[in-house]
Amino acid sequence: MNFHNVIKLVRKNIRRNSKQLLVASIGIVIGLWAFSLFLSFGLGITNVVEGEIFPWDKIEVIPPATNLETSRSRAPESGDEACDENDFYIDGQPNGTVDQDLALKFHKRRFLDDDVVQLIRRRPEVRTAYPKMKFTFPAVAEGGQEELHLSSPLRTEIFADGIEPHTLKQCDEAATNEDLERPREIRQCDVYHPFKFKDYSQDEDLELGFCEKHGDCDKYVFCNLEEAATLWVFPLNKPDAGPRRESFHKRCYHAVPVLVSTYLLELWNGSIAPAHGYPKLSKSTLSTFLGLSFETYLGLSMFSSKAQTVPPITRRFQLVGISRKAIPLGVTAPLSYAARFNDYFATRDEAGDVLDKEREKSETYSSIVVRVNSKKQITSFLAFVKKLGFTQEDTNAETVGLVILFITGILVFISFVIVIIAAINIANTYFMIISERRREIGIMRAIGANRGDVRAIFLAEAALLGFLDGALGLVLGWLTARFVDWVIWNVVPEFPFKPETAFHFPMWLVLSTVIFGVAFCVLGALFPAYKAAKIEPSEALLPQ
Amino acid sequence: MAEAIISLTKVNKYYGHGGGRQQVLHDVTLTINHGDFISIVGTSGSGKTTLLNIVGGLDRRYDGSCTVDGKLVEKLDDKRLARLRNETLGFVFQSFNLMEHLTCWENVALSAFFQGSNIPSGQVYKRAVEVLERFGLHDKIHSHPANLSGGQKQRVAIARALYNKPKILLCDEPTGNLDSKTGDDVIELFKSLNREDGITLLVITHEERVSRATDRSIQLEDGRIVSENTSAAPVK
Ligand SMILES: Nc1ncnc2c1ncn2[C@@H]1O[C@H](COP(=O)(O)OP(=O)(O)O)[C@@H](O)[C@H]1O
Ligand SMILES: [Mg+2]
Repeated sequence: MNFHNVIKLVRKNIRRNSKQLLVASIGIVIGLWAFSLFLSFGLGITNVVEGEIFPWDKIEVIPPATNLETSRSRAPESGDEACDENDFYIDGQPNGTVDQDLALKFHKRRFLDDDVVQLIRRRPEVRTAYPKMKFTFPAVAEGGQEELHLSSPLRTEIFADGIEPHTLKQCDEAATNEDLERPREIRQCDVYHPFKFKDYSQDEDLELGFCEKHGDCDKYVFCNLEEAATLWVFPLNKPDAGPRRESFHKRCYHAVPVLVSTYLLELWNGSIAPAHGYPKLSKSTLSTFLGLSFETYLGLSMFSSKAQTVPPITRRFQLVGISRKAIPLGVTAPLSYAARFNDYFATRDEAGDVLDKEREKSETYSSIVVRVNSKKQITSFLAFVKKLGFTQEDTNAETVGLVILFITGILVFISFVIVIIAAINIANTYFMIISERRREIGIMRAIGANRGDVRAIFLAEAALLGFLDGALGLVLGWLTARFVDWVIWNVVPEFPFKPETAFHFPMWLVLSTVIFGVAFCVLGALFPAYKAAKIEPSEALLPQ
Repeated sequence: MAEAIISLTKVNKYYGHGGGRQQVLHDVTLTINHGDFISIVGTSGSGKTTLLNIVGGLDRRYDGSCTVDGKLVEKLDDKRLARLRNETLGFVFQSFNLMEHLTCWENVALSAFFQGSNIPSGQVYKRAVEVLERFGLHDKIHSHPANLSGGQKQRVAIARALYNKPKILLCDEPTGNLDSKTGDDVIELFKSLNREDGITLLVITHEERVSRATDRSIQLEDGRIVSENTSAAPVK
C-alpha cells in the first residue's frame, strides 16, 4: 500500500462517517484541549515563578546560623576538615595544582568575605556571584507626599542592604529610553539615567555648598538639616584616611542612591497601590518614581523602642532604579554605605572601639548571591557550599515549584482520564463503523487485501482522526489561553507579578498534544481494527 | 491436452458446530482447465457460493484439497492468499459490491491499492480508464456508482475484477440482478473475455440461458456434483 493512497482512502472514509466520528472525537478534543491548556498554564506559571519570583538559578549563600553566637576567635574546629583540596584548584592550572593560599585562608574563618566570594566565583557551576551586606539596624523612611500627591507622607519601616555598584547595569540616556520601552520581564537596566548608583563619598569634590533648605541645593542634591548628624567622608577602604566623621550641618550633600526590587514594584502595583489609592508605577509614571527621595531615619524603628547605643541619624535616600538584584522588600544601597552605617551602629566598648564580635557587621557580608549556569549544577554547587560550612537562604522556591508541579500533574492526569474515556468512545464508534462496513471489508479482502491491510486502513484512519483531534484540541487550548490572558489583562484587577502571559506552549507541548491525539485514537481503534481484520472474507461478503 | 488451473479433490465443507453441524459440500472433486468457461448450476442452498468461496480463497475452513494456479489454497498463509486473490483471481458478485463512496475509476483501481509494489498513481489511473473504456464506460470514469444503471454497475465490477489481468474470473450469479437484455450483454462480454483474453471463467447461475452459453455446466445438488454436461460448443 502506498502512503499517499492510504491517506486518500482514509480521508474519504473519515468524511463518510464524519458525523459519528465527530461525536466520538468530542471527548478526545476536550481532553487534549484540557491537556494543552493545563500543561501550558503550569509551564507558564513556572516560568513566572522561576523567572521572576524565585529565579531558579539564584542561590543565596549565608553564614551558618551558629555564626551569630560564634566570634571570629573561636571559629569551629570542624572547619579544618570541611573542605578537601579539590575545592581549591586554580583556574587554568593543570589538575592537582591547589591554591594553597586560598585553602589556608578558608580554614581560618567562616564568615563571608572577599576570599569566599573569590572561592565561589572560581567554581565552574557559577555564572556570577556578588556579595550583599544587610543593614543591621532598623530604619524608617518618610516622604513622597508631594511627588505622589498624597494627603500625608508615606511613613514606613524599611529593610535595607548594600551591594557593589559595579555588579549593576547603569544605563546612559539612550539605553534608559530604549529600556523603558521594553516589557518588564526583559528590562536590562538596573539604574536609569540621569541617576548614578555609587558611593558619593568617594567623589573628589565634596564641596556642594551651604543651604537652609533642600531647595537651596542643586538638582539631586539635598540639604543636611540635622544638627547633630555626622557623615562619613571617606570610605572604609581608605584605611589611612578614615573613617572620619564630620558634621555637615546645613551643607548640601548627595543622597544615598537606592534601588528597589522588581518584586517590590510588583507588590506596589499589585497590592499596595490599589489598596491605599496610591498611583501605580507604570511605564509612564516611572519617571515620577525615579528620583523620588525620602528622609530616612537610621536607627529608628516604628515597632521597637529598643534604643540604639548611638543617636539615630537622618539621611536622604533617593530612588535611582529598579533591579532584580535589590532586596525584595526594602531598598538596596551601595555596599560601602551599608558598611559605614553598620559600623556606626555597632556596639562599642568604653574606648569607642567596635566590639570584636560586632566587627563582622561592617567587615563581612551577610550573604553572597550566586547565579549558577544550569539547573543540573545546583546540587553540586550546594554540596560545595555545605562543605565550606555555609548554608543556603531558603526561598521556598522548591516548595512552590513542587506545589505547581503537583497541581499541574493533577490537572494533566484529569485530562488524561478524559482522553482515556474518549478513547473508549472511539473504540465503540469503530465497532459500529466496522459492522457498517463489514461488506466493504469483504470486498477489499476479495480484491486482495490481507488482514494487515485491513487493520492498517482502520488504524491509519484513526491516526488521521487523532491528528485532527489533537490539532483541534491544541488550537482550542491556545485560543483559550489567549482569552484567559486577555481576561487577566483587561478584566482581573492588578495583582503582583501579573504576567504578560500565564501560558507557555513550547514545541514539545505542541507535538505531544498532537501525538497523544494520534496515540489515543489509534489505541481506541486498535481492538476494533484487529476484530475487523479477523473477519473471514466469505463471511464479510454474506448478504446482510 | 489442456492443463488444470483449478482442481478440487474430495472437498468437504461444514458449517456450525456440534448438533447444529451441517455438511454443505460432500466430497467435491472437480478439475477446471485453462481457458474453460464453466457454469455451476443448482438450486438455492445447494452450496454453489460455498464452492466458489473455496476456489476463490475466501474461505479456508474446509477439508480436502484445492489447488488454484498451481498453489495449494489451504497451505497459503494470509498474505500469499491475498496475493493470489489480487493477482490471479477476479470476483464478480450478484449485488455488484461496489464501494459507494468511491468513483468508478477508484473502484476499479482499488486492487492496485493492495498490490505489493508501489505503482505510480498516474499509471494506476491510466489502467483503470483503459479497462473502463473497454466496457464502454468512458463517460462514467468520475461518476459514483449511485448514478449508474444496474448493467453499468456490473460492468464497473467486471472492470474492477479485470484490472490486474487475472487468469480466472469467479462470478456468483452475475446476471441475477439484471434484466434479460443487459444480462445477455454481460454474457456476451464473458464470452469475449474467454475467447479473446483466454480467461478461465467460473460462473454460478440458475438461469439456463447463462449455462447454455458456457462450455461446460456442473450441477450441484445438496453439496454433491450430480452431473456434468458438456455443451455442443466445441472445446478448444
Ligand atoms: N456462513 C454460513 N453459516 C452457516 N451456514 C451457511 C453459511 N453460508 C452458507 N450456509 C448454508 O450452506 C448451504 C449452502 O449455501 P450456499 O453455498 O450459499 O448455497 P447457494 O449459493 O447454492 O445458494 C445453505 O444451506 C446455507 O444455509
Ligand atoms: Mg449463492
